[in-house]
Amino acid sequence: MKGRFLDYWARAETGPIVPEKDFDLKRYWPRINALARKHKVEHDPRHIVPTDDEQLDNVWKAACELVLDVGFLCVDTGRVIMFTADEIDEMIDHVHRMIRLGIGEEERTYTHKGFEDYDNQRNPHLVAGRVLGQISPEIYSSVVMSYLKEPSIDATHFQGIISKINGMLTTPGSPWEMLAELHRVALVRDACRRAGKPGYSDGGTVPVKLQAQMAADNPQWGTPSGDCRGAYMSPSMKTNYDWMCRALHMYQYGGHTWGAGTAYLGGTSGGPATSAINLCAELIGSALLYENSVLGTWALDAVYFSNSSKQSLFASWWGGAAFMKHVPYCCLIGAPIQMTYKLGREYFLEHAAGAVGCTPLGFGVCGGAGAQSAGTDVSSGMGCRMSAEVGRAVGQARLTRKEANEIVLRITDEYQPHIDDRTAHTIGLTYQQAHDVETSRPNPEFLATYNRVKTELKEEFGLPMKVTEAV
Amino acid sequence: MTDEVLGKLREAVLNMDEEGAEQTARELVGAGLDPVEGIKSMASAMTEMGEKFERGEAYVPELLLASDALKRAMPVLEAEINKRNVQREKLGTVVVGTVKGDVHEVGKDIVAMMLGVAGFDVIDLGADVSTSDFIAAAQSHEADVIAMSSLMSTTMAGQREVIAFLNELGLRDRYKVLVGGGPVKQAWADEIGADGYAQDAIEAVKSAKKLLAKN
Repeated sequence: MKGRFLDYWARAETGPIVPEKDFDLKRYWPRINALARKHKVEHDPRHIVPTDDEQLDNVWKAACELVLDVGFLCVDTGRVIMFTADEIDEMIDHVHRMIRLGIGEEERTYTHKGFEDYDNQRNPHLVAGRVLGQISPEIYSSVVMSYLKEPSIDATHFQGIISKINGMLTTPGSPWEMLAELHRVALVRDACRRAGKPGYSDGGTVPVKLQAQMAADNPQWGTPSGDCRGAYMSPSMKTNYDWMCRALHMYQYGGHTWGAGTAYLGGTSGGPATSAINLCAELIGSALLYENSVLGTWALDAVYFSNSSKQSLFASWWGGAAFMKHVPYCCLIGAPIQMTYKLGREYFLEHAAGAVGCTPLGFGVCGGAGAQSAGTDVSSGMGCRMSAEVGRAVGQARLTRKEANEIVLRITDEYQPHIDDRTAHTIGLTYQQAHDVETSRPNPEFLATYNRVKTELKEEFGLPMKVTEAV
Repeated sequence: MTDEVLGKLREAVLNMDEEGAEQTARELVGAGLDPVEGIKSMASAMTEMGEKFERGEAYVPELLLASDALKRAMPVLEAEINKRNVQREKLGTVVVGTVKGDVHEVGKDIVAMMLGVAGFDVIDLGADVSTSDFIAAAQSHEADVIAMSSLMSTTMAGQREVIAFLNELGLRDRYKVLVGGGPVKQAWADEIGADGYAQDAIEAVKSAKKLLAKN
């Protein structure tokens, strides 16, 4: 149940004044490094999936101390929002333990899952789709439908960008951005109705300006109240009035928000170990400041925008698992949220690694978007199908975290080289090359690739994958 | 004496020691040593930091702190250079920023840092920079390159707008335009008529040098 966020936001007008550069370099950076040393949080590249509970407790302690010592900078006011240990304890007591997304027949309920908690809800309990990057207007509905036709996907962020409308680029803050959002929501709702899922939850948060998002809020023809929109932290440990307004707007509307713990590896949050601490601290901050219904783990390599590399998975999963071990939160989606490759074998392997790591940790899984979310027309519901199928197989096999870690290490070995040489985003297919645009179905070649990866997972890794001639 | 002081200056930058860098710069000037050599020594320290960053052994905050140490010592050396009326070779001036509507700074910060490390004079305009601010800054600083970052597909249009403004104002030939950022690719750079595209900060330096024919 929501409670304190208004009082916490007010601290943005009363907290200590700290210039942004001082916050980054003199307050945040020395403290996170000192906390990593104090709690002996280190990057072990052989343990991407966390198996050491004592080390997870150390990440949690470091993250809590980071929140208490550093706080969250509100960049609009130049003041830091500070918290007390009691307030973190209170958040743990009152955090969302159960959440419902979607409405009517499409409503889905999610509650907290622990580690290797295979008999509690499905495995994984939430399969979330993401459509990201630019999607050409002529195939937008087809891409949306490729997700809606997948029975295993519970909810999707239809976040593909409509880059032009009425012949105009959708410049932020312009009427064209507002028009594009009206059009996007209409396309998504229409596709949901055609797919027989009128109450399906969309979490797409496309407009840069809130006003464009608000324009589509209408339960009759636009955004339903079961939808979710973004309200999250800015890196590192920062917030602003825009995110607060976005959260407040969705709550008064009766909708939900999603947030994320982020980290930029090599960038502001440092290496994998400090990034894990940062990510956990931002999850705590999200639960305190925004009281989001869904949270995600979004660690990225700062130099090459990858959310599925070994290092970013380490930061996402250690930070996320430390949070979930100590907070009975309803629904955390694990990385990768977006894939690095375009559609093809490695793209499916990225999804598979994600599901193998996330499912034993009790995380939801996510998928669909490829090419670092940067390419045009590189999203497919088939990625999410892979996440769901692998997650189900992991649950059926009741993999321990240790077993999952061994498999993740081997799968990531398969796709990491082209992340390291920074060419992964060029390898694979576009939606049009992989699907029949008219029916949204995968074409025979893409389906064959999908089935080959499943066979590979079954034969090489012993996962109980059901290899069939799926449509 | 020369090597010792230059080594000390280099170490101060590598150790991100602002006070030490300034103090050593004063020591260097006081000893009558060549201030240009001091700048070269600090630049070599920043190059080493950049290489460490590329290998994942140093992180952006450390680069920024090392850069702060360099900046603290720089006025001392520049004042001496001016006094001696020595000309220092510059690679060029780059105005850098994230385009209008986009508040993401991490990638842009890295690019600005690496350009500075390479020897460019960098005017960092920050994030959410309007088209007119890019152009005004390029004019007032007599820039050679305008470098624009965009992390969101929705804000990429800001890069096109800057180029359109330059064209319409008859200023296009004065500046080389370099674009980059998560969703930005070579095809987009070609479409909007940018002079260069960079996938990451290392490429940005190479591209800026190539545009100004400094290689």
